[in-house]
Amino acid sequence: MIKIRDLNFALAPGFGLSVPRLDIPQGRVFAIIGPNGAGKTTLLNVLALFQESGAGSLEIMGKDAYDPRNKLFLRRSMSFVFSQPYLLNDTVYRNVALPLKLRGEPDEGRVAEMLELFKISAFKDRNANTLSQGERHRVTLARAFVTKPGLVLLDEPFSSLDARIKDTIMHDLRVIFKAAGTTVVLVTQDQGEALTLCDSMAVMKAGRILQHGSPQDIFARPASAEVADFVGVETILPGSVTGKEDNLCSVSAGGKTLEVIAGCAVGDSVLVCVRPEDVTVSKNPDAGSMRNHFGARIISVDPWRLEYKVGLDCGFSLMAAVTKQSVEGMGLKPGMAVFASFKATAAHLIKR
Amino acid sequence: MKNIRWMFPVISAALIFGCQAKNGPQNAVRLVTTTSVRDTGLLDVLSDAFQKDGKYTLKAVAVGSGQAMQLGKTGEADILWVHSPDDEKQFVEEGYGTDRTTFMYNDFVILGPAQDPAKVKGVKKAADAFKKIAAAKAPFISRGDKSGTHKKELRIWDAAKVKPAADKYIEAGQGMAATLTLADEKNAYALVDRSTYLSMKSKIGLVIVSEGDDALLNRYSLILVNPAKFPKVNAAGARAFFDFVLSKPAKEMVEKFGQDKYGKQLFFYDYAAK
Amino acid sequence: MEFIVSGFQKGIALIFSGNAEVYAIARLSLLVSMFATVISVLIGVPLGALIAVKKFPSKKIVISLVNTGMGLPPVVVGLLVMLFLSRSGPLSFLEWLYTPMGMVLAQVIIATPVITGLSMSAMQSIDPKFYRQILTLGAGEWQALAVCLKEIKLSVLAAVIAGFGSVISEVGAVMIVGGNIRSQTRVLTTATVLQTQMGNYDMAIALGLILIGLTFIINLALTFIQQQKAQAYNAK
Repeated sequence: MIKIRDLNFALAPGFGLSVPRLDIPQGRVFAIIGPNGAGKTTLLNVLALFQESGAGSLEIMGKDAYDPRNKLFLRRSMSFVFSQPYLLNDTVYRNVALPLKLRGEPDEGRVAEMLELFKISAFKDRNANTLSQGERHRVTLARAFVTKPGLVLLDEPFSSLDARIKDTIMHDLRVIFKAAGTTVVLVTQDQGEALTLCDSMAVMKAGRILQHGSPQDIFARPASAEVADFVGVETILPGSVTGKEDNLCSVSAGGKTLEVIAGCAVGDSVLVCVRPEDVTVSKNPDAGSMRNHFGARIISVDPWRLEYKVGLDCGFSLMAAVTKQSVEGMGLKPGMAVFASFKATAAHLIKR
Repeated sequence: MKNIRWMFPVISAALIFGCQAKNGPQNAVRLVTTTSVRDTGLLDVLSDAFQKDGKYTLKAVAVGSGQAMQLGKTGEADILWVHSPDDEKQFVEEGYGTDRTTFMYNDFVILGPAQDPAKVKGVKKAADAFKKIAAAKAPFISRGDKSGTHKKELRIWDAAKVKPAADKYIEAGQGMAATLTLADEKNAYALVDRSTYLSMKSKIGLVIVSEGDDALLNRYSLILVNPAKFPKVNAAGARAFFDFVLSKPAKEMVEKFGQDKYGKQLFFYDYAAK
Repeated sequence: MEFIVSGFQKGIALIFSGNAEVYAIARLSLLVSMFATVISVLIGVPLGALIAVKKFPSKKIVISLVNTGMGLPPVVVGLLVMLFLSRSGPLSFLEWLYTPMGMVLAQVIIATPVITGLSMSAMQSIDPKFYRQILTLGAGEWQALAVCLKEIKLSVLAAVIAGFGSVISEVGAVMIVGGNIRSQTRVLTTATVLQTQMGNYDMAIALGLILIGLTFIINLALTFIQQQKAQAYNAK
């Protein structure tokens, strides 16, 4: 569906986009995530034919996207959804019908179908500006899908929504994406969105794609410290592999020995990545099944979303995510002595 | 509702183009004349009569004689009707015009405030009147626009061998009626052609303080702009107007003009009209 | 004071007396200015919208030019138009000097920058991403402009009102280009000047009152439409 080769250009001095190769197959829901300024929106703009790139090649739906003759055809075969809903000061119905009107195509019930699908049929005769935020987003989405485009591009579409509305819409969208088989490219800063909606994703930073694969893959096995940092691995420890038995590596880090299942060789310099969700905090000195078990002192206990982040000092810094019940149950406080443990399979090594 | 809004400009466009067609290029004759001819109303009378048979459209533009000659010198006018003899002679000598025909006259009068601070009343010679005005340092409004009236006024100052005080001498830079209105406002002296004065008499407070001097005679001429020099000139149209003005019916119109309104004849024919 | 009052009385009487010449003058004023405004709108609105929305190298210069054009002294426009239309000028073949079409031309040159500038700023008040969004929905560039203009139609109407106002009350340019020729190019403004200079104050006042009246009625009509649309917008 989308093939990029050698896309290179400079937007501003010191900032450029450089994508040697990217393929997005048809029907895939693809996320591009990264921090601000990573170039995600620029890449999306290139796909949307907003940005004149000039370098390399871009093929969309089998057509050369740089050829001006293809421009209108391609534009009419894709939809773009901005983070703000840009709606006409008109009824919901006419807003959703706009893409058809622009193409001179007849309605044939497509508008009604979309209103139904996005659950906004009740509003069809109301002025779009009178709706709530979530409802307006649904109108924007309905409008984007009414022509059943082959490709839908979304630029941080949920960034201005409340969490609850976001969850509802994302759930509905997952169903719709799967059913329609549309190719979707979604840009977001929120890893949660990527995990929930997408089949594959790319992590971008400073105009480059750092890693590309399934969300689960990237989250569990980030390829570099940068990626690890962005996808929420909060414990990244420099160390070196001191021993190996089958694929169980002994890594010396922070003055302690960690056991990690990984494909590294003895003597490798590595970074040990441990996700906070994979760290268990307990008062139990018994290691149980966890290969990595350390005595630790609590440095900080901070609320985070619906849980707590507990910062630990095991001789090295370790961050754990602990449920509210556990924190209250164990009475965790800074200064307390506890035990922290994680599985050898939960940790991940990045070669340095 | 929408449709009505679009109708308006379409209709007006049609009307304007219609007007244009009527004033078609080959029918238009450009007459450049003086403001005194227009302000008295004589121009309207002759213009209407000339255009009655619909053969020609008269585009009559009234400016000072100076500007009129300038328009003649660039070929913008087809025919001139002016009253500035020296300039006219030079105009013809330099080849810009032909068939200069002096055909009509009226006279100028010197107007002043009723109280007459310069004691001009009763003075017979225009030059003497001007001498007195300068001596009394009374305010004087001049046309200041190189028109025939202005040129006449300058000649009288020359003859009087005096110059009025600079702060008392105001150059209006406008037409005859406008200058007269200004003079009236400022209670000043001015040189005005009698016809314009009569046509505005009821509206102003100035009175005639001197008249009758030969130097105050004001002669009007017609000049055809030379088509050989300016091929774009409507020579046929100009000639048609020329012949019309010099015809008997026109003569009668001119001589009758103003009689019923002002009780006096304003313009006199000096030409054996055919 | 008294003669002003009597001037007004005579003036009003003149309007209602059905004086043919007065009506002809008023009619010509309306025709010329409305026609000129329509042409200026057809040029100025799309042009202003286009300048606002497109990126191009000399954009800042073009915007400055438009803004300068808005402040162009009309009488200077009149002078230049007259020179161009004169027999020695490059446009003499049009033969529009001393005709209503010449006056329309001068008024178009005066009104177009006004309408362009106002349309341009109305368009700039739209989020630029809105235009892009409409493009992404499958609009060609002109289609997208039309959709955007529809969204700001209240402001566009204000631009039309401003454009019309700038020409119906203009006197210098139409005097120079038209020549103030009786029953051919004499309009309310130039006729008022002439009558004032000749001291016919009652006639001048009559013409002046008609001019104010006409301007008021047309503005009233356009504002009425604008406010109706505004109300509809707010009610929704």
